[in-house]
Amino acid sequence: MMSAEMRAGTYTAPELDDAFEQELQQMALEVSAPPLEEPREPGLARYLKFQAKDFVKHRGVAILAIALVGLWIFHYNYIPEIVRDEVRHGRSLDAEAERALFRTIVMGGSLLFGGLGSLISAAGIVSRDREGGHQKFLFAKPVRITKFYLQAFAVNGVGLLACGLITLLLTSLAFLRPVPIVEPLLAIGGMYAAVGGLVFLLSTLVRFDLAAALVLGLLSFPLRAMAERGHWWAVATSWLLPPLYKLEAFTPESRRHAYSIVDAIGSLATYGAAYVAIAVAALKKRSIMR
Amino acid sequence: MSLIEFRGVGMRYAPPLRRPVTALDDVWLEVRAGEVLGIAGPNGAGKSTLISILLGYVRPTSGVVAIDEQDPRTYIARNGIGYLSELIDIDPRWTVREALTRFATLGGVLDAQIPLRIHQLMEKLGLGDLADRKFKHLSKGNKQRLGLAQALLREERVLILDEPTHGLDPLWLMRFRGIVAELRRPGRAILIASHNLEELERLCDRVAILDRGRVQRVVDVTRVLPQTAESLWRLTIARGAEQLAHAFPDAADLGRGDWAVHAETLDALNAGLAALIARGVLLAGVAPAQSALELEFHDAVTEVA
Repeated sequence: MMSAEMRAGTYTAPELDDAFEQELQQMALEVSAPPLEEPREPGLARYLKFQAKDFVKHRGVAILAIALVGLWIFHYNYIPEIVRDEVRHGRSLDAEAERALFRTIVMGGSLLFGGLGSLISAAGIVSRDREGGHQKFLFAKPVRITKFYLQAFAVNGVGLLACGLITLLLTSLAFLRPVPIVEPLLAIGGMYAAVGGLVFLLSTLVRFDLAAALVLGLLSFPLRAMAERGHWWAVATSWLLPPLYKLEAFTPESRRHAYSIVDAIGSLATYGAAYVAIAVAALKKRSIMR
Repeated sequence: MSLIEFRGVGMRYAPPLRRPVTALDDVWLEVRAGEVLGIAGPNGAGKSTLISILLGYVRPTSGVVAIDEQDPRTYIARNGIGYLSELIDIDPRWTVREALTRFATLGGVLDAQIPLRIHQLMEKLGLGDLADRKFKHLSKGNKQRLGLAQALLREERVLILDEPTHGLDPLWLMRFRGIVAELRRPGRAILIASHNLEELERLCDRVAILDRGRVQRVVDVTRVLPQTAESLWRLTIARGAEQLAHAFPDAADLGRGDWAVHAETLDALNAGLAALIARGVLLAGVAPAQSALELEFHDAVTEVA
């Protein structure tokens, strides 16, 4: 538009022509410009399919590969294991005892799967994006950072459970017999809540979250031993770590133990919720820049 | 109406065991709707910190930043913005098409419109043949064009372009200027941070010169005329350069027939040129040796030093 100063002053014809031309261009622009308020569809829920795809490509395949190796080892060693068990007990196994042994091995394998799978599934959810630097582009879009990462954490958890289910079904096929489904999946879910939650928290705080989680995992054994001996600082510190010892509740021979499955799942879920809540607070407070 | 406002913004980093660094100090700045504002400054002036604060990725230690009267993250989470940075950095395994589809989805573009929108942008920015190429296999210029494409997926009210021409070849540099000129809208605020003063002078309405964390001055480039600036001129002489000393004793040879001369006023310049022509000198060109913005920038930065 022509300024008031320009209107008041004395100008040559070319200057006035230029000003008039500018004014016409501005008017044309205002008419031709598309509206800035174009319709928008919530993006985060639709982005879920990409997060699921990322899980499958970058984590799920690796988890299933490890699980298949584990299944192969289990299948290869199962008969010798029965023989060893018979030798150990000096009697031949009846059908029920053999079923109990099979179940124990499946539960033990599921716990191992849950632990490793939780580490792989939750590692780097935030730290890898921060390190890569593409958070800056993701979060210029209309999306809340906390919701984005909570959705990624949930998608990876569901993905891990799906991998667990596939592994159990493959186990059933490999041995041509039914396998327990609900209890192993509950154990895997509980482990993801607690271990995955802790790794998710670490990924919001440090760069090498997987390494930090492994160090914590290793330290937890001597720490728990010291806590059982009554060292107050060890008791206090061990409160910060997830109560994985309660997973004993899932092993058939420990049914007489103090922990029930409900108690174990409740404790792990509570710890997981607390870790995730702290992670959300960290995401809100902490810069997402490197 | 101001769409973006910095009110007394300061940013002080205090890393443990190291000396605190003041990246920004009492920055007051506004970008009005319909305006293109440039941010210029030497390395370490605080441009990147200013933009990180505007994106809500870093909180200022003092002052307030607002986009449309809202906290930046609140505004962005509700509305989104167009953002391009100097070095676009996304998952190296994504193809051009996949990256744009992801950003369009997250940006809220309707599912039905995504393929067409992406096709149009890829054609406009010369990415059509690279649709299925992975990000890690793109050249620097192609990455930058992909970055621009993702910033333009929606008609956002706020565009932030941080060193947008980084890595672009001269042809795309020219096309980029045309694209940014097309982005002007009455209700849109565009902020461009760049080292390239010529680019800012061509694209922006005003340019804020930032140095040592402070806005040293804001130059209205639509009003500053070359002849009001300091009088260093570039003469291109086709014949008779040996006569130059008669009119401009301090003339400096820039090579290839170009000479730099001082003239305090336009009258003095014209008198000198008339004298040269009278002596048979054949002039091929006269132009300010530095643009008005370059001179303002030079003054602002050296004043502080």
